[in-house]
Amino acid sequence: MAGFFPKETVKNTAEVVGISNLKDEVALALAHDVEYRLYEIIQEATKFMRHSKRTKLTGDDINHALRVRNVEPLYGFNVPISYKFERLSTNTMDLYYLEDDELDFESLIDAPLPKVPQDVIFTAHWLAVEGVQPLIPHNPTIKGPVKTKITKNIASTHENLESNITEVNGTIEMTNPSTIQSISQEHQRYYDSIVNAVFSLESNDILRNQAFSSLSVDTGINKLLPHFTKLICEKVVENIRNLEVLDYLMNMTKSLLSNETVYLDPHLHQLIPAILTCLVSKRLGLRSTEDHWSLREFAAKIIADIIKRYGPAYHTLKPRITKTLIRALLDPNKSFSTQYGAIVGLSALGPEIIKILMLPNIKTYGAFIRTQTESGDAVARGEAERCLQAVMDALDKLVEDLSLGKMPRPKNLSQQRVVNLREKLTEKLGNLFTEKIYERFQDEDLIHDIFNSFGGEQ
Amino acid sequence: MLRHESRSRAQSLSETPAFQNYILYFNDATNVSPEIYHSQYGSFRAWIDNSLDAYKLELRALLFPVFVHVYLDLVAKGFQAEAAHLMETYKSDHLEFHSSQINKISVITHPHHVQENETAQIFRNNKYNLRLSDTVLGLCMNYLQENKFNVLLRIINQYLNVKTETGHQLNTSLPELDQANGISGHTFDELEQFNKQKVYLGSRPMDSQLREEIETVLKEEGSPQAIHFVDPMPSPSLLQEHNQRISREQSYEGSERGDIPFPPHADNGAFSKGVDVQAEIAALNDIRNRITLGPTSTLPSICFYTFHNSYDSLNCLSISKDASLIAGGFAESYIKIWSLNGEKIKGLRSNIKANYVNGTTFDLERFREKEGSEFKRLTGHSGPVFGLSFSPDRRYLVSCSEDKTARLWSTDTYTNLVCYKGHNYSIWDIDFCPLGFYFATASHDRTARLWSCDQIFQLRIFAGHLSDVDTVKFHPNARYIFTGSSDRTVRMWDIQEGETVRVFSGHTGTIYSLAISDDGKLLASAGEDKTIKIWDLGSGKCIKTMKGHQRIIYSLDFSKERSILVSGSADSTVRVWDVNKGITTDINDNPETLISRINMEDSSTVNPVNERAKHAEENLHSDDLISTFPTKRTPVYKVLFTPRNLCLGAGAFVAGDL
Repeated sequence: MAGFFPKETVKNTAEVVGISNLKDEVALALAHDVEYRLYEIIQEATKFMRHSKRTKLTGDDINHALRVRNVEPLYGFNVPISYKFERLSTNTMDLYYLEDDELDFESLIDAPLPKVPQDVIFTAHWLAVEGVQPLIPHNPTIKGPVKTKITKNIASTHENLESNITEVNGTIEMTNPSTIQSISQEHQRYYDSIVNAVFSLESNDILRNQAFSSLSVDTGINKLLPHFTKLICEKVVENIRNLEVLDYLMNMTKSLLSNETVYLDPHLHQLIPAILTCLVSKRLGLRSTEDHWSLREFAAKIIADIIKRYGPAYHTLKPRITKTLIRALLDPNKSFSTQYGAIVGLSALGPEIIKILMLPNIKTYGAFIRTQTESGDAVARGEAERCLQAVMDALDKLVEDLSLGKMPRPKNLSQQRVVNLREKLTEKLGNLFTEKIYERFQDEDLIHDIFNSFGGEQ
Repeated sequence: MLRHESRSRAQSLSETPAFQNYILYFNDATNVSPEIYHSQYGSFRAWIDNSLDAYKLELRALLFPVFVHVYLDLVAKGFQAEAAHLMETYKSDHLEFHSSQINKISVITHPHHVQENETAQIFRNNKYNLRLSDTVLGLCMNYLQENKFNVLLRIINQYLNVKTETGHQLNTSLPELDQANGISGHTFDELEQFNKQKVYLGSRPMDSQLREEIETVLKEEGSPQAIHFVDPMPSPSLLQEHNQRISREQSYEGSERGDIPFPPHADNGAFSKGVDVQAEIAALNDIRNRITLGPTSTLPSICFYTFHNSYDSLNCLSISKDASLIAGGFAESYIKIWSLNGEKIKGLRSNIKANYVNGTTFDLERFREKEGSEFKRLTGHSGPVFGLSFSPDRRYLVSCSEDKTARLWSTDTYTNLVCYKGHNYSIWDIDFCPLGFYFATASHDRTARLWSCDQIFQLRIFAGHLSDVDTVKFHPNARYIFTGSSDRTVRMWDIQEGETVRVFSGHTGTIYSLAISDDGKLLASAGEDKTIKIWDLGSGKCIKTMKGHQRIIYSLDFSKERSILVSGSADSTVRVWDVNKGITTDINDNPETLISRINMEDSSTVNPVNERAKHAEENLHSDDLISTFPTKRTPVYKVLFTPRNLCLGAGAFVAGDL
């Protein structure tokens, strides 16, 4: 194996610096040395590349290597432009050269400044939760086999997975067989009996309640959480037209949440969408006449519970949920059922949320409801009525929280001020709700207080 | 200088025609002065030392037989003083791999000893087999010939039997330990002998005063934390946990206190609820709330931090032990620190008057910034930052850079406190001592160094690696440090003595990452060769090799109870490995059986059939891989377990084409 660095190159270089007749032996010896030096530089530059955790060698790496070897760096190559050698074929040999464009000073100066690069930021996500990679947008989609249902026999599941793993083109696509393996017989039996008690047709309310209460107190179910979570998520989607099952599922969720000993945090991101589905989904149940309203209220309570319990630790949780709900409420294209869910969801989050998020929007919403009730049919009107009622309930809650009625009345209210009050309240909340408020509370002094507490005249 | 003559494969050197030229020098070589031996050997050694990493290891294998024969020649010719001088100067090169032979040879001091001594006769009367790649042999012969190193040429001709193999380099991990090398029929397993030195792996026992204080505080508090949870299985109180830990510490053999000095424990006035006591109580809390991980019980949860818009300039990441801060070192010489717990970073204001800062009543917290910021940028280095490490109490950060300096930063003021100069070349890695106060650096200048925060000069220089030291890590008891190098070995150094006590050889590439289990008994190493090796520190043996990664491995960490190992790699995956699978016996209980098991494994790897089978399944993974978690396109720079066994990972997203 001869050196790959040809002596002709050395000769050419020599000619450039003015040595015309370089002897062959000298050129050869130099070529060998140049090659050795190149190896050396590449070796050092590679070290810099590796420690910079890159896979591409850059001009900077070469310069660092040159500095290590006490050679002056080559300036001007550290911009992230990829250089390409151009080939020039002559009759004797090929020449390679670097294309060096001529730059026009004028246009360079007149060119707009480049965009300021974005600052380095970071995001956090769960890469794995107890050995299972959650299917969230942050993680790559797994191309492997679909996970076999765990309610099957464990042994067969395990076998299936193993054979699947080897099948996938020799690449390793693990779909977490390990967690499935790791469920003990006892756990599997517990899981099966809970599932049976809740969903089986032969089951009854007593069994079901026992299952729920077991979920809420049992201390050893941590390992089953991924499976319960998955079950809830899947079943909610499957049974979106079956109110009964949805109700059971929400009961399960509530039981798990009320269990003090389980560590539910990593599964929340999967559970919350399921609960929100039950809260604001356009259609729940087979017919719109079914009582999906109470399910929505129940889901709202669960959401409120979650925020109360986990909100402090996960500071983005509350804003994210409220944002979803308020968007659902203000979108005129959404159905009343969705809006209803959003209203009860928001009002369950407490008076503070009602005051900050609902009150400012109540006027527009009132106007919207009015147009809908006037144009819509009987069913729509009934639904609108429910929404209206829900808003009023929320206001009630707010009033109650402010405990307005119990405050000592200021005596010196003039008639003039009260008349103005009605106008101002209309201005603030719109006609519909002003009327409603007057209907409900009647006592003008109280309404005056309400008005003040809603932000007064500013 | 890659020229070399065509050489037939596996042919003895003396039979090749090209070699006959060298024999012409033979006659002059017999009448040389002793200085020539010394200078030729010295130059040869220096040349090898400066050669490319790729060839260096093979050339090193040549050095030992040459050394022995140079020495024997000198003695045989009656130059005892020169021989002794040679032995003194270069002995240390060969102590790790050939100590017993060196010991035997060095007692030979008289010409007729050479005739009588058994070892000398073995060397004189047999040819020393050596496997070299033809490129390397060509390089070496050229060098010796050009410099007219006749003495050395004669020795190589007379006493060595060089077998050449075509190719650039041999594919063994450490040619010096190649089984084919040496004199046939006389095998010396030197490294095994070397690795038998006594090491103390027990954890450092707690200061008795501190221990009492902790006990007092715990008794007073009555561990109120326990009341919050209605737990059917009453978990042990903090005090019980504390006592358990103490008894565990005492059960370790041979750990005596006081060998490595640490500053006295922080003590805040009369009722001592000092910083250290609180830290220890927090640690106990962590132990109690730890999730027990294992391949059959719970698998780890991994929280991953992805860095965006880094434009390939993010070189390294470090996360503090309490997972509250993350620091990144950039190619543009600065360091950035972000908060991980959602709170803004509030540094101390710079306008504190020094005369306020006195006494115990002074409350530093009042002087924190009101607003705080998303991140803090630390500037000071003048070259790419390659390594970062937080102090265990996370109040300090050390960094190292291409500018040959290490720097200590305060995470209270977010300013540079000290700049440590000493290394001669770029520093690759830095590690804070798990007990604070000390830190170690690894550098391109082939040394690792130990520093204490309060002195600007290094305390120890650990020299011995043949090439760059790429990574450094402390043992949990702070008695030892571990270094991984481009010479494909890991060394374990005694901090007090400054000497190598173990050499772990077996990797076939640069080592970029090390991890030591919390109980101080296992070492994991990985790097360029994409494999992870687990070593038993007590015996110095490789327990097992784990394969599966497709690219360089950047980071490793053991879970706290040592059952699980996680690794982060350039192939954008985090992999979880079962540490105990394939190890039949428990290391703690029965060292004998463990070793026999290892011996079995060793012999099987030598078997060529087995080797080939291994190559065939290179694309597969070893069966102790529990799971693989791919990221989207984020090479994983760092993985670590928090004290409660939550796994954290971090890396920079690669935009554009891979």
